[in-house]
Amino acid sequence: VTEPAALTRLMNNARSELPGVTDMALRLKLFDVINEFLTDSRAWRDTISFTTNVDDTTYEIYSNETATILALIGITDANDAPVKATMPTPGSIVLANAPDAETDCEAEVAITVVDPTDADDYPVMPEWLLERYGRTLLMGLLGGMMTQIAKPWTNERMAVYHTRRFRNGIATARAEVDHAHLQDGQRWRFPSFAPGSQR
Amino acid sequence: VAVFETVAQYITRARVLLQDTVSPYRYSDTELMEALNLALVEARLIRPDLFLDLEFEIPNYTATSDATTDIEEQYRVAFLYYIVGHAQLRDEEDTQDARASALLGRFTKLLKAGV
Repeated sequence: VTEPAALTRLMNNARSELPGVTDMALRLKLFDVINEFLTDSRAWRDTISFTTNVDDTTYEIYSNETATILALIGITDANDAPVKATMPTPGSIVLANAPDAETDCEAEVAITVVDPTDADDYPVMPEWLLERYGRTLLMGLLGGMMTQIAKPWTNERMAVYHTRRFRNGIATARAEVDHAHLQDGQRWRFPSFAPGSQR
Repeated sequence: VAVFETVAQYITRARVLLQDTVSPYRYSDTELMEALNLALVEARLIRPDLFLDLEFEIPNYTATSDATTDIEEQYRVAFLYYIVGHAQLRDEEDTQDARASALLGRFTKLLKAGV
């Protein structure tokens, strides 16, 4: 399996910024950084289909990716109408109202990386996330590594700098995701049964 | 091929710095191998991240063989310095004491500071 170019660039940047660092240590920290980024930005989404049963309010859903579910973003039914629900524990959906018929629904969830990693010990994640947010992840990786105690690459001052840029990057990513990557846009859209347009 | 990777290669390199390349040797292979094992114990204390691949287990070599060591390439010189410094601790001359101390100090500094 070829390593994505964005991942190679990320690792090479980290190697050159952190003298003496080992790849194993970088890969270990990278998992934490990506997990923090995805947990706080909700940038990685998955749409999971499930069918409701009459009078059954609880459903278990599983991500289609090698990932773990973080939060429920929303559920729509076959008519694109929102369905009221909660997710008390990740992956367990509880509908607010018991369905009176079998209906195909789609749950949109935020997901994050999970073990197992790939053959090279990298977390499994979409390439576009690395390409789009590689700089932010690099800041998180550098900040996290420089925070470590008594290492050749320890640098308290630069750790603060990089970590701040990482957190700013997460906030930006979250805003972009909330607006569905639409410039000056809003995330909601008219359901298919309603008249009107998005802009 | 790495400059030194196996236990035997470490010992051969150490002998050059110890000026002990002609048999019968002043320092036995076993002594130098033990010094390598001790270096690994000290490295585990200073830089546990170097043992991630080994699940934090410290290797213990029992024979001067072609067994590959699990030392990250960029830190191999530090381990060589430790072997030589440790061997010279045995010598009683004042000059050797200073050299041993410098080499052992260099080992620690390379692991902690990287330069």
